[in-house]
Amino acid sequence: MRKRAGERESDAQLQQDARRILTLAGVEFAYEGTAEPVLRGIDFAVRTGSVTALLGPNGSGKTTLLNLCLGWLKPQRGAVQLRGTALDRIPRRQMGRTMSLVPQDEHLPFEYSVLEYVLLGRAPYLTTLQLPDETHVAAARSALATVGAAQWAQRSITTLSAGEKQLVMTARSLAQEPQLLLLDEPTSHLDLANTVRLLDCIAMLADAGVTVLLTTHDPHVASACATEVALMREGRILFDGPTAESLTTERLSATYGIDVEVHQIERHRVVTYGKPSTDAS
Amino acid sequence: MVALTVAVIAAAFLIGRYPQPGFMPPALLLDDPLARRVLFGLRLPRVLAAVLVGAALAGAGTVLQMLFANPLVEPGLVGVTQGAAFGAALAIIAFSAQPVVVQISAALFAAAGLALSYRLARGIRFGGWVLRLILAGIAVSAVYSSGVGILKYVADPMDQLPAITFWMLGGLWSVGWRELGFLLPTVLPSLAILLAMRWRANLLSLHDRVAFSLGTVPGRERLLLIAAATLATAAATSIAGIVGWVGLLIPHITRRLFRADGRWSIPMSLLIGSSFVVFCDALGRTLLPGEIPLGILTSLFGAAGFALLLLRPGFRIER
Repeated sequence: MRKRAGERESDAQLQQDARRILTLAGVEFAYEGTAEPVLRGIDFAVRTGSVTALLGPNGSGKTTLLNLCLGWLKPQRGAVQLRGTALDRIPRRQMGRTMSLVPQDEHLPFEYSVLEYVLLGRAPYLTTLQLPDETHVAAARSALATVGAAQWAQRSITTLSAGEKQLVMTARSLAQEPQLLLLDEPTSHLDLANTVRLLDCIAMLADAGVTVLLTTHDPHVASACATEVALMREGRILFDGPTAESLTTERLSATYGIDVEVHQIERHRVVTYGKPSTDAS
Repeated sequence: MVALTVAVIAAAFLIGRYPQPGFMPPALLLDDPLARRVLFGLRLPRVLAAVLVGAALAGAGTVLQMLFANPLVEPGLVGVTQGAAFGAALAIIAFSAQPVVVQISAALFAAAGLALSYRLARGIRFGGWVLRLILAGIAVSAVYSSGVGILKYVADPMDQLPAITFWMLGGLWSVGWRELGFLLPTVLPSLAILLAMRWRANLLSLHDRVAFSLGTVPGRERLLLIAAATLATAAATSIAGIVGWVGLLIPHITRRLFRADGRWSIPMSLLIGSSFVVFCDALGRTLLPGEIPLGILTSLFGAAGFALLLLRPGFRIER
């Protein structure tokens, strides 16, 4: 195996690792068959217990970065480590118990019941030939209850609306009992009410001690749920820090390449852009 | 369902054209030595072969549909069946009609057919995944069919041609204990793998990235299940010829009657599949003095049943 950067085991390093669940050092990534890297010079860490948002315009490399964190993609350069251990050194099943993913959308061709689907999240706790038993069903039910979807247990997943599906996918990830939850554009298919429902769910998980890493292109979503925001543009991280420091007029304008303004209205942060409304007095 | 399957098998065992068309009274077994010979020498291995063929095709169909997240995948629609037929025909002409050689060749070309369809589908630049895989499967199957056509053209008309023609029709009339002996060691382990991984198969019906995030190694587990399904299909095809539509219709019926979860759909499809093929085979050898090839009956019922299913209000296939 190639010697990876950052495999030093000094005391200071170990102490830092305890506070950082995931670290990326000098990461560069290009998709197979393309010369131009999608991500360049990524030095980034997810603090244990944080809700970290990767915020940036479409095509800025947010989802690619999330896939690198998951271990699904492997960087050409640099290292991705979970608590100081390179991802590909961690047994697959242990990874499944530590980290889980809620994809942006999922194509579900068969009429599984919601409970059967959420039960799939118990896979990392079962060997290849084992069948889930009552304790696993109970864990799946409790995951469903956590997102407030216990009453849908027997519904077919093909009948769920986009918002319901997002909550059920989140429940499936929670059945893995992860320490780090990855969400890929969790609100992009959701209306206002469902967005609020999902943000509440994220806040509750963070209170329960789950570290959350999510991608979003909407600064309001990042503002509403994140404790830390990394701003991404054209495959680089422009700025990475506490939400209040990231979401400023200058930094957001630079991130999106247009003029935006950040206003503080009581305890909410509002981003305005474009021409003023014509009917405004 | 188990009881129903056993009942169908028992009935098929007693149905036939000896001593007259229709049911044979079980009491005849006690005092007619010819009845015993017909039943235990000819009919029993044949019914058992029908059980295995049905279970193999339906089980493979169910699992392949899950693995490709595509409810229209059927061994006959993605190049597996045609590949097996081509491999069998090639083995008959080039090597020998030894069942072992025929089975190996059928399995290899069946796997190649599936791999080819998959590669081609990945390369198509338009349409959803369901459509692309079906289009690729049609093309690959057609290439194999014309290959079989060429092989038939060059085949020895006295000896090899009838053996090849047998594939295209599909039937179990030549199956005895010996042929059953070739079917058992390939089909039973394959089915055991499919059954053992019946819950795991659900995970592989998810997108690869999600299956990966659930702590699986999707590539490796998928390959194992595909190998088992392809081997079972190829073995069944090398004994029974092309028995169409079982692998498409039975999984759909099973998912409607029971659940989509593999813990139910995989074992139940094995039972329903074997009942269906045993029933068609019994019908085929009883109805007319000359036998109706099995493949014709399964296609007739299978295609008609699938057409009815498509018209059902709750039925839909996305993309």
